[in-house]
Amino acid sequence: MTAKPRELTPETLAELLERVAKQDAAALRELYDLAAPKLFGLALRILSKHEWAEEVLQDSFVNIWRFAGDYRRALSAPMTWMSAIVRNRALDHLRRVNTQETEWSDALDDLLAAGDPDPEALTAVSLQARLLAGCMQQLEPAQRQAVALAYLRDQSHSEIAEVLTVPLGTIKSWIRRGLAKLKTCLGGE
Amino acid sequence: MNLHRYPQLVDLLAAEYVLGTLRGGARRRFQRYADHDTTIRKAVDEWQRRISPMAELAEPRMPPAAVWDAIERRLGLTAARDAARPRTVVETPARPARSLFENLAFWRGWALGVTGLAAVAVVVAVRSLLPSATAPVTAPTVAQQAEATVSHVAVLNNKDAHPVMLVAWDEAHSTMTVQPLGKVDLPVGRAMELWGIPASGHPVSLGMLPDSANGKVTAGQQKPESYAALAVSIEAPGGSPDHNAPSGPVVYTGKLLPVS
Repeated sequence: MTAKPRELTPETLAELLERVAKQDAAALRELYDLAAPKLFGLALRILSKHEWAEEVLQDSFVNIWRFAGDYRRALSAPMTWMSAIVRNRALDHLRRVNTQETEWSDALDDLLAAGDPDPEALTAVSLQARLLAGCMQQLEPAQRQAVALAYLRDQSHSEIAEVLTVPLGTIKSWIRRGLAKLKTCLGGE
Repeated sequence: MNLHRYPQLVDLLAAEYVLGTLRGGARRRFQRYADHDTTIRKAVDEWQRRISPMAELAEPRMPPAAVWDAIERRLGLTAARDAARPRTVVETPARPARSLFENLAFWRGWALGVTGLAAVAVVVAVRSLLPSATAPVTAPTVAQQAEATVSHVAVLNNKDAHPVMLVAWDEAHSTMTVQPLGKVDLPVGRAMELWGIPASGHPVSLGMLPDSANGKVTAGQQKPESYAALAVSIEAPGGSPDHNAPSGPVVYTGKLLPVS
């Protein structure tokens, strides 16, 4: 990996995406150097298998190259946009492969660790993500876990109930309360 | 049902829609409402804004170099970069560029790791078939000076690890016999170039292959001992402008193993 000549700021990333949209291969490389570790971390967290995560990261950058022209600064932070691509590819991948294969124990630890992001790492993410991280911290660990599994694994209430071995009704209320707390914390309307 | 009378329900449904826990018929119905109702759509957008940054909170992890190489290859960026370079034919090994090493690491790893075991199995099988004493593998297209003796064999596999061709290297006669084992996908107007991959250092062109993947290639001064693996790239007719690096995609690779 080359020395990082630039900071991973939304401005830098947005600028690189604009160059990528014009088929600038050097910009894609720079974007990859800056953003790939973050996006690979995400793919690994969703998929837990290294080879799957590598495949998804590869597909995601191919898509970033193809669809960079669709990125709109006004709508989302560049990291959010790219993360959404990685998440969608990863969830597609999960649907394709036999989900039974997923190693739950390791994966769960990873998901839970996410409740405690270190401040250093957070400088690399968007302001919205930093706010969300703070608010996720305020949830009960069980609520946090249920919300994270739902979003990052695209799991249904009953799948989460099975993974966490609690009754379905409990999961529903954890998620409902978790979402309500997030809303209060993050504000809205 | 007029959802507007239940703003809290709308908000909860929007949240679970974005989170993904609203499923099946309920999800489709809610999606239909959202399509025609700006208030509902706004609630969904709000929740997107709140929840989607969750994807950014993963711990950063360094991906292996192979990922970038694969991206570059899939998008044809290597080819574009090489095409931009002046077309000079270098007879002596040139100093390879950094990105080339990265590429190399990828397919070397691929050839030696993934397909290694399969190749060993085939070599065992081939040993009994291939000839120290009998006829060459295919009908000779070049006059045979003497009976063929195969010293090294490589089974080249495609990316799905399916064997595609067999290369039998006759060191004594400096020839390689190529035989198809599976379907060879060669785009119209393109040609296949064979590469020797040393255990360290850059690839070396071993010449162009017949489009049918059936026939002989002269090895010239090349020795099989110099290479750990063989690879085939898809090139414009005439081959890669750089004798020390494929310019097109590498489609088949396999470990080169001594037969004895």
